[in-house]
Amino acid sequence: MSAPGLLLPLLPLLLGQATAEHVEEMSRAVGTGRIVGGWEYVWACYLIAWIGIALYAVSLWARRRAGSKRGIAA
Amino acid sequence: MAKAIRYALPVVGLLMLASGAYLGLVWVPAERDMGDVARIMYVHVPAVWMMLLASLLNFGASLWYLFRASWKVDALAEAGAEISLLFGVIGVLLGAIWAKPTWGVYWNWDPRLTSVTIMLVTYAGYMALRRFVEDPERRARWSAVAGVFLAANSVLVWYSVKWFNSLHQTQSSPKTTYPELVLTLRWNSFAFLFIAIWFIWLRYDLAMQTRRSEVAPPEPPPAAAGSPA
Repeated sequence: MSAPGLLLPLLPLLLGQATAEHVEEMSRAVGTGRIVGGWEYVWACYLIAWIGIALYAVSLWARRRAGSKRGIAA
Repeated sequence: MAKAIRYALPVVGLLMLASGAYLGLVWVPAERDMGDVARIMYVHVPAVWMMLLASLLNFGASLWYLFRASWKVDALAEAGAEISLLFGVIGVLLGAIWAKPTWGVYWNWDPRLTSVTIMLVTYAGYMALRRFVEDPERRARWSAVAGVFLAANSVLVWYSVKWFNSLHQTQSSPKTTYPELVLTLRWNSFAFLFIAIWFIWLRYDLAMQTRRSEVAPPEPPPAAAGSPA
């Protein structure tokens, strides 16, 4: 196996380590904010955005499929 | 080429959305005042931007239709309105959730919130108009006129935080924020943009499919078709 191939399994570890160091460094510089916590609001927002996009994609797919069937039937 | 772009758009958009979530939830630090709650910005702001971009598309296509009527332009206007409504609803829901930990309430009738609500209601009305008018030509003409008028509200939404005394913050400049925040916001915005373009493309095709079936000449009766003279 080539050198990049050997390094590939280590990538998540290296990325995680780099992220942890970055977050620690930035948190020292910026602080944690006046409002503490609130992760439930953050998760709710990301989930609503993802679910909204996914549901609309499914609705488009279903409507296109129904339209194609009507076209074939006609 | 168009086919390759069409397949690439959702793939790149979803990959960027997934990596954007990592940037927004893990990589970027908490904001100095709002703490971790500010991470909502990386989905709320792109959603609202897509709402305004799609409404701009609806306005451009509506105006274009009034000068040079074509089914393609009408379909583009329809696609723009629906995508604007989709991202508007997502953006407003996210904004309301963000308001709770920062303002203490989910909703108040602040100028920005009021103008965006009016915008969503009018776009819902626009979509209803398209559904209720059966004659395709009349529907396209009436919708084009409505689309041009609706654009005025998009301007009001954008400037409401500058023109009125609003609780909602004004537009920030990248110069006054730290680079990690700007990068994360831009990354997520491009993810939303690619997905929005893909949605508009698919919705445009759907509108064209409907238009073709509406304006197609009637089929000959089965007995006449293929029967010997």
